[in-house]
Amino acid sequence: MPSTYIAGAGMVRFGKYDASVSFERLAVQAGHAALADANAQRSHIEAVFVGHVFGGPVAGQRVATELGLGGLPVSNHENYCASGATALREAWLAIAAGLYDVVLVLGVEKMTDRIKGGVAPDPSDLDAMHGYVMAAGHAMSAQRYMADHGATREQIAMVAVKNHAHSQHNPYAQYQRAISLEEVLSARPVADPLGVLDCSPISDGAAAAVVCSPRGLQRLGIAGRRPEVRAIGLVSGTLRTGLYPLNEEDISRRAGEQAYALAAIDPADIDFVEMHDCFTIAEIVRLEGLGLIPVGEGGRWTEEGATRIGGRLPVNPSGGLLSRGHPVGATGMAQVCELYWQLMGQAAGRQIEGARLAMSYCKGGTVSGTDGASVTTVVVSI
Amino acid sequence: MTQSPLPRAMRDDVMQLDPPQLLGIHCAACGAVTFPKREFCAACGAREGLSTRGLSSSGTVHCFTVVRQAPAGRAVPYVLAYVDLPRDQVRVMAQLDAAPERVRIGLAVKTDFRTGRVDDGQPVVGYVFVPEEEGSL
Repeated sequence: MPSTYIAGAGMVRFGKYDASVSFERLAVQAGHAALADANAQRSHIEAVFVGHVFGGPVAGQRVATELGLGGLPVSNHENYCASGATALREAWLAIAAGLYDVVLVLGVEKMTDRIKGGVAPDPSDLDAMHGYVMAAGHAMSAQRYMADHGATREQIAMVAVKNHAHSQHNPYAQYQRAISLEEVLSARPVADPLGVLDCSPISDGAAAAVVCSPRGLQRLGIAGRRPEVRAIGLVSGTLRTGLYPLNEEDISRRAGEQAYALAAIDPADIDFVEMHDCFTIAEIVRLEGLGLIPVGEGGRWTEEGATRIGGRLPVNPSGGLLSRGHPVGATGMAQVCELYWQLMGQAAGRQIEGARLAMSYCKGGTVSGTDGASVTTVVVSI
Repeated sequence: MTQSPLPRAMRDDVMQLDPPQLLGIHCAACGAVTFPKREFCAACGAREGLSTRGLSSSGTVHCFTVVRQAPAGRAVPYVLAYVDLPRDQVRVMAQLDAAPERVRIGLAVKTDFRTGRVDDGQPVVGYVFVPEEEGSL
């Protein structure tokens, strides 16, 4: 497969923007930042790929028009929280197929004016009819994880403490302050045992990257090194039957195996991970599903600092979804921005020294009876 | 006076009213029970040899949560649980109508069918779990 590179990246600070800051405006800011970082003019861009969930029909075309990129091939990609990374995957495939040399990928979401009380599956979904919300699913995962592995509530809460500590050094994060274990434990309850600080917030934001072939890099006049996209995996959930282990994370196992094979890497060589920590417990069980942490040990790894910057496997140096915020369709591209900045050595106070190989993981949506809807894995190296 | 319409099940692939029970399909090829009903066996993929099966009304709580924040239109708190039906080897997610402090992993529960809403005068019946009555025969 021909090489594909990330030539530049940019995003807006995630957070709560008032009604005057539109979906399109967020996207345009992120898009301009990525274009500038890649030294790209509008005339360099050959196609636009946009991931979003709640933007409405042809939101990508509205954004492209405002970016002055009307007329190009524009496509919209929806895989719930994995939408942004799915858009990147389609861009990667198109470049690998030789169709384009320079494209723009955006993940965008404006949530705070349209989502209240947490995200849920499609209303037609059987679980949704019973009042299932994402927080409830993760709360049951947490309860079962503690019962099965002897993990403690405190160990799970430490995921939030760790990620918020990282976020202090990320100027794009919605929250940029450290929090204490006591704050997490005493926060307003959402779905027992999880409280509001175990949950990623509802956020607005946009993140973007310019993705290129080797010829595209030349066209942009980029002589220095840029992170190479080694693989972008995508799997969907399968129907589970019988009384299976609730935290078996078969979908994560399959996502990981696909990514490692596509990228031809040994997962032990991964220097850090941007993980979809939509809820504290999710970071733990997904890392275990990927095979990066032995099953049942994620709580202890977190408590002992193994997943901190400086630890044996740093996870979410950006602060993760818990701190950076989670504008669902934008998250996958925000993760990719972090991979880019870390591998370029531009992550300042949160820099992981010597990082060469990194992976991000996004999980989007649920379908009743399955172990999820979609998981993307992005493997990048420099 | 017009007669009020008879109650109907919330979804015919999930439950029936006479007698009230959850419905799955049993696969003759591999023996697995798929819930809710599908046109194929979720375990082995077979499309032949499938028969409708009424599921056991008795189960145990595999895990649960007390939901204290939900999208608009749902009163909180409510208990959600994954309930294992050992006879059928099926896990069902539904609300558990019980005081939160009484619920624990392993609690014995049973299905209960009740009107969840009324559509144009027609009662729509759904299902929840309730604790097995302690001390009753």
